[in-house]
Amino acid sequence: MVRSLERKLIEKAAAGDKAAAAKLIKAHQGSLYAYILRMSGKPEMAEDIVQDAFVRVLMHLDRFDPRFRFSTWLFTIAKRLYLNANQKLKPHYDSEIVSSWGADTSAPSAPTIQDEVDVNARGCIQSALDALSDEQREVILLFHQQNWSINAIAKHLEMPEGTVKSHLHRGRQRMRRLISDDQTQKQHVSEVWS
Amino acid sequence: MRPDRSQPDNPNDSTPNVDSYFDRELTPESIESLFDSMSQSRAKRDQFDDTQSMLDDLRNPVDVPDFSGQVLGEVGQRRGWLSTKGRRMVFVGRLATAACLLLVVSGLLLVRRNNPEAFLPATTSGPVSEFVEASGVEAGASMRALSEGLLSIEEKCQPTVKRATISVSVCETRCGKSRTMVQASARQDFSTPVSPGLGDWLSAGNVELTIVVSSFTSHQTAGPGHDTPINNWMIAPERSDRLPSFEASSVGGPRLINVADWTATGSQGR
Repeated sequence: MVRSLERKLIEKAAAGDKAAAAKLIKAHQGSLYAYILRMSGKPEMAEDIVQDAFVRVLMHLDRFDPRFRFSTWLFTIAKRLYLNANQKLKPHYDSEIVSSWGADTSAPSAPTIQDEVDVNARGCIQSALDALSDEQREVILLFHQQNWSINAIAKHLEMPEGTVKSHLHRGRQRMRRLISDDQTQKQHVSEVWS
Repeated sequence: MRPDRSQPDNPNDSTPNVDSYFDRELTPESIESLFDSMSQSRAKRDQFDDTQSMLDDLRNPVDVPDFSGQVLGEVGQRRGWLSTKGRRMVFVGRLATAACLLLVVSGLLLVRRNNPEAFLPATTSGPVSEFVEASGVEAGASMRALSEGLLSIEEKCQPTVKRATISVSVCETRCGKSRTMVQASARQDFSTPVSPGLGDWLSAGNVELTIVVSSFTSHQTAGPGHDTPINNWMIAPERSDRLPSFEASSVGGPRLINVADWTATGSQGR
């Protein structure tokens, strides 16, 4: 979204314009949800965090500093919420998992081959992301998924640009190795199975 | 297990690194050079393909639920949304409040300028009834001062003001520890107070001056209007040339002189 247009929307939303607020949400919900989903790996958690982040931002639009990007502010708030949610997260016990599994009586729809490929790819990527450190994961997502610059990430994460680049290289290298290992393993399994 | 292909085949390879490409650091020429080198190095090409595929997966769009309804509903419950008309009314209200505030501050400043005592606290104690009574009188005086101030402004704004109107003005010159005070008051037909500088209005010829020379020797302390015996007063030598006629005529105490006379004899010093 063009920055001047975004600023006008922010001003209108701060003055109580509901339509402007809706446009702001629609412009940013996709990228924020994808980011938090990849950070957490849990769709339900990502939905709660994104919704809470938007509510907080809209409630305090008067505090927004127009010198900065709106997305930076939004992502910062969402990240704090994610960290808080992570701290509060309780482990699931086997009994809970079993009971919820048994209660689900709806018949699953037949997955297509493409669905399966997509799910595998997403699962593979998510597993690789989960294996990274928090900093590496965040830098990888902001740079490659959200297309932020190294400079913007450095400011956002309050770390030197060199450190950001280092996290980026190591994270990418690790992900590549993990995905490669995973594919090799799957290849072995399919060879044995056939 | 496949070998780690994150490093280039040859460490001495001078062609651009695959990682630099994904860091968005390469120029178009460097990118071309990288692609050329990839055609000759399978490891490099595999590394490029794997990374590209991984990042494509990472950027794959996810199914995003629409948050706008829930978010707007929740914000509406907590804060409420305004219609266009409501927002306009809020804007006009803010503007009106600012204008009122400005008017009140201007009024207070005008009253203070024309009647400074109106803001001084009482120095003696007294019954509340007197205070209430006095408040009414003071309020009336303040309103009169305010209206006079407004009239003065109005008069100033008119293009045909006949003369400058002067109530009190003080000019002070200093030379070491000597001090010369010149007080001027308007003739009776000029009643609206303003405070001009001494320069322009002295030559008007219609102002009566009460000139008090308060030049003292270093061992004396006194202020303007102090009743130190006139014999102890002295005109500072540096200033005496500016008040030639006054020195002779003021012996015996302050007196009224016509500014026209003074200007005629004393203006050469100005």
